Amino acid sequence: MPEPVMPGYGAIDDGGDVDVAPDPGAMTPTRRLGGALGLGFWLSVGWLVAIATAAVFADALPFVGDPDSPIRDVARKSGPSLEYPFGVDSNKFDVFARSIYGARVSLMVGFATILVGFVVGGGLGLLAGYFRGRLETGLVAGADAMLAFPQLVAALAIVAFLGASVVNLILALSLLAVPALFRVTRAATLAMAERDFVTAARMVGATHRRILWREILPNVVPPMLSFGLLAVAIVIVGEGALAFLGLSVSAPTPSWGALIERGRDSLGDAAHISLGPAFMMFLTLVALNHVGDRLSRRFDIREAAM
Amino acid sequence: MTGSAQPTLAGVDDHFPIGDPSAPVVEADDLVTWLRTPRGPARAVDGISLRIAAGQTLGVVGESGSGKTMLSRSVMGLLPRRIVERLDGTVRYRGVEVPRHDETALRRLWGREMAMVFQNPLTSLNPVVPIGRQISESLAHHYDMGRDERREHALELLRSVGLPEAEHRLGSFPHELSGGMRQRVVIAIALACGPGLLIADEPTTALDVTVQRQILDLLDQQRRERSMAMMLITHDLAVVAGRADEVAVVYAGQVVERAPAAELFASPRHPYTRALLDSIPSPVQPSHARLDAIAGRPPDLVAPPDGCRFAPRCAYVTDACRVAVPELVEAQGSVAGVGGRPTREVRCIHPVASSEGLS
Amino acid sequence: MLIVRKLGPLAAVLVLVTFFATLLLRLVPGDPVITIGGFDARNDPERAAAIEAEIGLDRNVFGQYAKWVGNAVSGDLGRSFQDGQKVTTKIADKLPVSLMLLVYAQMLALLIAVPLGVAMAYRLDSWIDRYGSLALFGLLAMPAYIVGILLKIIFVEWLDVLQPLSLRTPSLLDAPGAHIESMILPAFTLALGLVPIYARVLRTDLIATLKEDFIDVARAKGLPPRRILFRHALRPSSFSLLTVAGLATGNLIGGAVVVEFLFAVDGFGQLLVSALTRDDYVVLQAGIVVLAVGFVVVNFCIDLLYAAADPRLRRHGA
Repeated sequence: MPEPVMPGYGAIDDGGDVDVAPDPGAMTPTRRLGGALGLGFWLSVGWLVAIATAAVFADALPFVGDPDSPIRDVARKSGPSLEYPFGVDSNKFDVFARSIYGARVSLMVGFATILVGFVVGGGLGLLAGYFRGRLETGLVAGADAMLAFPQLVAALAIVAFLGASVVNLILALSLLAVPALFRVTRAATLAMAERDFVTAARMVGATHRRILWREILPNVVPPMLSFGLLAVAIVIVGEGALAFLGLSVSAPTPSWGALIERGRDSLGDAAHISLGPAFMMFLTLVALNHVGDRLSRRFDIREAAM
Repeated sequence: MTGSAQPTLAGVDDHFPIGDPSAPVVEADDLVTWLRTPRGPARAVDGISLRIAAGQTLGVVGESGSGKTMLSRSVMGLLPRRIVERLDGTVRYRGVEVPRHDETALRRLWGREMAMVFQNPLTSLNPVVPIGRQISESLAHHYDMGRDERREHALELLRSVGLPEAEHRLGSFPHELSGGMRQRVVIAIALACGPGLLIADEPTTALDVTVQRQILDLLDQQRRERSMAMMLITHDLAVVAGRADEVAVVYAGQVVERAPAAELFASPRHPYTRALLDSIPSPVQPSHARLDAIAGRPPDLVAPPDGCRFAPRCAYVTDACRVAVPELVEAQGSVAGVGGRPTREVRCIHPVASSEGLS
Repeated sequence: MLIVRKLGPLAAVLVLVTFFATLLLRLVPGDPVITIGGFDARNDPERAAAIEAEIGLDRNVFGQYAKWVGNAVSGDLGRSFQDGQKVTTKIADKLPVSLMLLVYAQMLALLIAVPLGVAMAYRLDSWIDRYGSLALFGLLAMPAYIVGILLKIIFVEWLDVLQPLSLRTPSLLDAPGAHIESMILPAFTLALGLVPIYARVLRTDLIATLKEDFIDVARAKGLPPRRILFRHALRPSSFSLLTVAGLATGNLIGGAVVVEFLFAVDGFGQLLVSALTRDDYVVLQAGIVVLAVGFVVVNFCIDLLYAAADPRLRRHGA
């Protein structure tokens, strides 16, 4: 008898006394606003697409001004207005424009790092989960050691000793991304490798390479993806921290973290200098978290159903 | 009993009133408990009444899915509020009405006047608290006892439930005890404040066969010594034989037969009771004889059939059975009992006449 | 037995970390000799050799590491490039402040997260659960520097309650009022970063625990909900919280850098940052090592706490 799942405390251990098993059809919330994934999901996706597009095409967009030239007819540090939604900073730069350009570094570093994580960490995870043996043990130990280390410190160390370039940043931040994605991919691969369809492929005589590529990889990608989105958020936060401390790249424009830091002396009279980029960053992080969350739950349910 | 309204608990301060000592310990009338499920309300308890007098045991028997555990919890009022769709009926404890919708008032009763022994002794005890503390906790809460006094009391209780080396066990953790010992501890916890009603919900199902009897004997002994009313819930008729004074057979949230135990076993009137009795393996049967299981599936509490709820599985069903739910009426062989209530009742429009019955 | 088994991997991590820090010193772009002694030092062979010997660059990596370890064990972590002070002195000076910040942050975080988590689990799906979850989700998306900035705006600018301070953080003993005043915002900032995780984790565990039979039994005893929640349900549900708190402590040691920088707290983080900006590699190296050691020690203590909290683990050594 299925155990009734009741919210609120006190399970009814009735030994299956009352059959309140939920009807499996009720699991799919298709009647929710915005469909199965929810309205928030699509709003988040929309925001992410918008900000990414804006960052990439900033030069061409009419409503994004020049981040590095002072605006003449406005007072220093003046607050948000219709024309300049985030106001103007102490150098008379358009804060909104700077925020959009700032997204460039943050997003680029974020996604690039995760890409490295996917390729290196994901690749190794696949191999470890599929071939097992001493390769796996070694890799797992390595990943655990990397994860055991306080990440910010490692990133700080690398950037401090090796200088702040985009490459170094990505390197530093991927110290976290690679082992984390390794873990996730390995776990997913382990789950997949036991499945019947893999055994079936083996029996037909498929090579390891073919199995990995055709059978396992497509099934492992979804959980990797949802985790990857969450990881992007973490990397953006990390890059922001480094930027805040003055350790990130500042060309073409300072990233979000640096922009926030620059406004911190004007919090009294011109808080918008910090709050503008902060708000943009916040929205992006919320969107990434939400999308990653929803996707991971979706794939978990499918896993369970299988 | 005067004709004025029954006193209720609401106005009572600390000490529960003795109420009417001549009234049965617990009286439940027309209990209805419907639970919220995704498919609709499940009628776990659909109009059940019962009475238990001091020192008496009422056996409640039914299959899994019959609603018997929900019944016990309904009597006590121990239901998680969130899943209850409908709650009707009255419960009177020693003549005083129990405020079933007021959890704060109910808490004054729980542990002190009404106690419950749960099915699984392994999970019924908090794994990180020593058992001595788990016993004296209700003492601490309901009474103003000093720490030494509580310890003494807990020790006494452990001895009275037959736990060996009680002194050393006070500080033990549940995982250090065997299943039978744990169940004894659970019983000790229930008895700590000297309740008037003890509900034992499948107390032996999770135990070894050898231990089962000991536990049942223990419960019997405690009931006698303390003159408690006891409600013994089980799916196993054999557990109830010889230990209950009266038996109520429950099916699909309703009582389908109620009789003094001996009479129930000798001459069951309801086809379901008959089927239950027939399905008990008997030592006199030749080995490899087929066991008579009851055909069909457990009842659907969300959408019960029109008419008699046992009809889909009844060997003697007729068309008339499917028309309306039979009432619980006085059965053949019943005499006038306490308070004018019949001693035997059955919910069937053609009850089985005798144990030979129709073939 | 248990202790020894746990020490092994931790010691390994320590060695790895310290070696890594030493290694980085060799990868630094630029010439450390110049950084330490100025341009002239490079032209003066004796001086250059002396400096190189001091840092350990006259040997290979392993030799350098060995020398460093030898020195470290005897309490010598080198001298700062900036001011020549002994690194150990500098660290001993600033570390206590950071540790206090850490402790305050954890205390505040638990003070907020535990009641919140309990309330959310007990009143599942109620308004406090839903809005609480929403708020926590939002908080989770706010890195420490954003939270800090916001708090600064609210408390320093708008409410004018707490003043931005002087260079040295007042000590607890000498000036308790000023000490608290200068520490409370950074501590609160750090705490707010921890609260979402703590509350979430606790809520999840509690929900599972509350479904257990022994909670029902406690309820059937007539115990009031508060007692059931805090005396019975909380302890078995706190393992995940403990783990997370431990991990957070380890990470906080490093992550507080940003907060210290923002609030001008004169602690270890500030030391690291100034070493960073001034290329004071010796201090950096020592700093990284201290952080790693702290991390390792904390994790070890967490494991010990586990054994203490769950009696079932004691005998069998998990």
